[in-house]
Amino acid sequence: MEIIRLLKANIRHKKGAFKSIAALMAIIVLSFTGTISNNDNIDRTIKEGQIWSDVPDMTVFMEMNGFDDETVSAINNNPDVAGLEAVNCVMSRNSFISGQETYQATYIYPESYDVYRVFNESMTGYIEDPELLKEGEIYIAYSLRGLYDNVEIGSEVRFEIPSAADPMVNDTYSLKVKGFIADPNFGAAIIGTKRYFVSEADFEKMYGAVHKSRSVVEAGISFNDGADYLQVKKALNESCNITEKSMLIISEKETGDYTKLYSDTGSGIVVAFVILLIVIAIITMYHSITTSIEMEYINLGILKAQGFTSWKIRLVYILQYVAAEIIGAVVGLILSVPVLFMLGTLFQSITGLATVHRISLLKCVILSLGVIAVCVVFVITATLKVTKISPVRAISGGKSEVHFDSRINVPVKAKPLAFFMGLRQFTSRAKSYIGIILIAGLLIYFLMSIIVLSDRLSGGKFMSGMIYPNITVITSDEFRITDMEKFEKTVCEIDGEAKVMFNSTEYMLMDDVELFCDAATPVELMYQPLEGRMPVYDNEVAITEIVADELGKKIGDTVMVGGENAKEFLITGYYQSLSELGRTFTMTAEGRYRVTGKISNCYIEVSDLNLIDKISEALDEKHSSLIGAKTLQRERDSSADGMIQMIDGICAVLVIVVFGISIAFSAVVINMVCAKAFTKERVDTGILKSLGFTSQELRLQFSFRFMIISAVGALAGGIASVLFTKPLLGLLLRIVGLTRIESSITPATFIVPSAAICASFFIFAYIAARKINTVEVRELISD
Amino acid sequence: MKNTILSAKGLCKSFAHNGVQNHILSNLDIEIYEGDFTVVMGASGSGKSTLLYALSGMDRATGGTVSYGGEDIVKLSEKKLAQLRHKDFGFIFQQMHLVSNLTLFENVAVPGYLNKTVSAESVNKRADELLEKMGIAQIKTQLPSQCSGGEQQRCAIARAVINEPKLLFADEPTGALNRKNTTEVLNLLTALNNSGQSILMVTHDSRAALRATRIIYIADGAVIGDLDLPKYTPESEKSRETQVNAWLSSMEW
Repeated sequence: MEIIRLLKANIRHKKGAFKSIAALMAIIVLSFTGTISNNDNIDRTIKEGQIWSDVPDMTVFMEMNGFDDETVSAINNNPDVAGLEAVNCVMSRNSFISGQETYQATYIYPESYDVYRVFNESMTGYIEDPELLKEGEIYIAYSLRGLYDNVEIGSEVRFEIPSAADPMVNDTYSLKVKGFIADPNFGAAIIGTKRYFVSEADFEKMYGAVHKSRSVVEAGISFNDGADYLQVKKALNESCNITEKSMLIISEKETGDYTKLYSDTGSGIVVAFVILLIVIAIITMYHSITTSIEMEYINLGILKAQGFTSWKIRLVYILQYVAAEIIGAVVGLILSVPVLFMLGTLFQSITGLATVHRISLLKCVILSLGVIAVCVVFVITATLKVTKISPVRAISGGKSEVHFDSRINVPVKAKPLAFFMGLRQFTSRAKSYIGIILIAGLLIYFLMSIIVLSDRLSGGKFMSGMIYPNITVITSDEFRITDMEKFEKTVCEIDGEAKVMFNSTEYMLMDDVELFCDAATPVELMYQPLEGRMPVYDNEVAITEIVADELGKKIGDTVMVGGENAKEFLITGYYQSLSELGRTFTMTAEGRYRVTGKISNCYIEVSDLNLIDKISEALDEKHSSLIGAKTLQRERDSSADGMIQMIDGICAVLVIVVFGISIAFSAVVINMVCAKAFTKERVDTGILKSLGFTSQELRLQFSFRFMIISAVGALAGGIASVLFTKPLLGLLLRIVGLTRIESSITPATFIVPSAAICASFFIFAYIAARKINTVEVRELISD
Repeated sequence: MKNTILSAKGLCKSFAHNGVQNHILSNLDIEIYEGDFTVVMGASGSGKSTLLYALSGMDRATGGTVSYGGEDIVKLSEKKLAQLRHKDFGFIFQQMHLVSNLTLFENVAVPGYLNKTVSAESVNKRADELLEKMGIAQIKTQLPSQCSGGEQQRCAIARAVINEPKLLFADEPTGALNRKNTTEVLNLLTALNNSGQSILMVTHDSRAALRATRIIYIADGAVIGDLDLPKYTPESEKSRETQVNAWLSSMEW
């Protein structure tokens, strides 16, 4: 009973601290509830989508001639395969949405291939029974809206597909967007394959008219329970060389992983941030409790004299903080409802699936209780001081605060007086501000890391393909490897600064493990080495560090690349790529030719757009027999821009959210610390007022003190950032394929967050010090 | 004819406590003259400190006027009151109230820095001179907590006069000191008054009152006695003691 009375009194008298702890907890719970629930919602949406779309365990795209009897029987005879379902489709390599060329592999199906759902008008769910498409209408993936400009219902989608009659001539198919679809297998923005659905009549027309090289089979292979995807693929490679026959092989898990790539990365970052916030909250609580005990030394001594045990007094503190945390947790959970809605909408444009907005209540409540439990441990530790209070000492004058001379004290100067007074207030009690310095340092370290991360990911810096082709040449069957030089010579005679690259991508086996190969000559136009050098000769490869770890290989080792005709390659260097979450390697176009005998396509980026036609004509004139098809892009490829914009948008949201939370956190922390400092220094405040300082001047001193503290923290955070940003980001981004982050810490990387935190400390200290207005000199009177 | 430096008319000060109004000062009229060492005496709870704070602008009166330099300081804004405190008035507290994290030198110099018309160099020089005069120059870099009560009070006096105030207020400045330190502090105040400094001091120590050129006695928030005295000299102390004690007895002290 007495505990309850004390608890009530404590909460009544320390409303500020109570509210602050509740606010800190609310921010923490909001952060992890938003992230965890959003991740769960995306997971749930993907899983449900994979069920209603009946996504097979393995999806394979093959040209018709590859899908022969031998392949079909090899698949059907595999003991792990439960079923095979093949669907014909048309592949387009030249597709345009609202006039913008798309960069994804495009496959066109009849609408009866029921693997998708159509979004409703408000894009919040699906239509139960969508109308049948009319001729000239098409359904496209929802994510394409975000990847290209001006994509809406009624927009034009155009395909230019080589004709069956004459493969040198492209037939054009123009359709209007009837609606947007959710495609759980290939609909995510990050996946470089997109499925389009047209009316039965249009599909018949197209399928009958296109060149055989564009008639493709999508084979859906289902496994028996317990079968392993990689094992099945390996077995199929041995039995029918499936990798070399396919344009793409992908598992249900892989497409699911790609779809939630950004939410996984984002949640990794938020988890790191939440841990940091918990540390800050604990430091703040620790500071608050120890200061409170110091200030109430006499009262606590009196309580002890009246028979209260140390444990009972500590219990009051524990209950008080637990109550504040429970209230904060509830508020955080409630606030997460609108936040989840916003996050769901943001991520819908990435996953391409209608996202639900449910809170993972049980998980988040358990986590909240975990955070509370951790905090309780620290409260118990912080209240250890109570055991040392002696009733006699406390009652006979308490524990008065004594300022000692400090080596870091600098003389108080007249100008600017407020600054020097603030500095002295800090240096004379520097030890008691270590916690706040730590908080400022941690916030600045994290903000700097986020800025570096955002800088690394934004503007397409991470993207492979540092070439924006204006001319794309699909090479013909007559093209020989030696013709690459001739092509380059023709282009460079007209435009000496043009970039010419021969590039192809496909899945290939490396030491019997299927990996994504991005072959290019010159490789440097695609990737830069992290270590060693990029391949130059046709017997060299560069691998990512993720592949190096997976295969147990290092620079200087040799690997076998290819299936039946595997060739030996020397690893010359490491590089990094987001493609396939980093499971990729690269070689020259000549190297690829040595293994597969296939020729790569040619991509030309001109230095002057006016030269496009001239180069195109020269190529036609000199090498017409070597050209299978050719497309001209008179502007920069906007599809890449769409992706870059989307990632830039996510980075911007991340930076804003982290900055916002940091500033909100510093507001709460400063408010709490200032309130304690103010109560402690009430007499000094009265003295200074009696000397002629105005409330305004004293508030400025308060603000300067906390600004100086945050500046010291900024310095510590900056040093920590130089030392630890690289490993932190390396850890966070490894899941997306980036193993090494250049921690490009520029003066701006340090100045922007430091200025933001110092300014917020200054402003919030000024606001929190408003109570100075209430101090009367009369309080010094002892009549 | 003496010049009035500060005057109060119909001064009232009351506090509400548990819904009951306590009238500490009621309709009090008083005039303080330039160059005087005025001492206010009275029994404990008579309202003498309250009067001092009301006259110095440290606290606002609930009624009446306090005129200084043609202005009613009761009606001054916080900013103007602050200016008055650092330019025209000096204040010495019973409990010294030095700023705990400033050295003795800084405690003296900081109020001087508030005066924008004087350079920092001049303030520093004057602070050094005052500390020298107070006999604490050798410990000027120490913090208050490292000094004795007497040293702290001497520092508080130096601080109070750094801006050469027109009127120096002292609230029982010897109340927390031992006999030796009390004499030293009183000597300093007397010296200041001899050099022309107007002083208004509240005390219940009759020994301290001997230094006055005028003693005002208040009881129940009103002035009931007013005694003029010649300037203090050590030689006159015995005769003053007899005169003052007799007068105080007549006030029922």
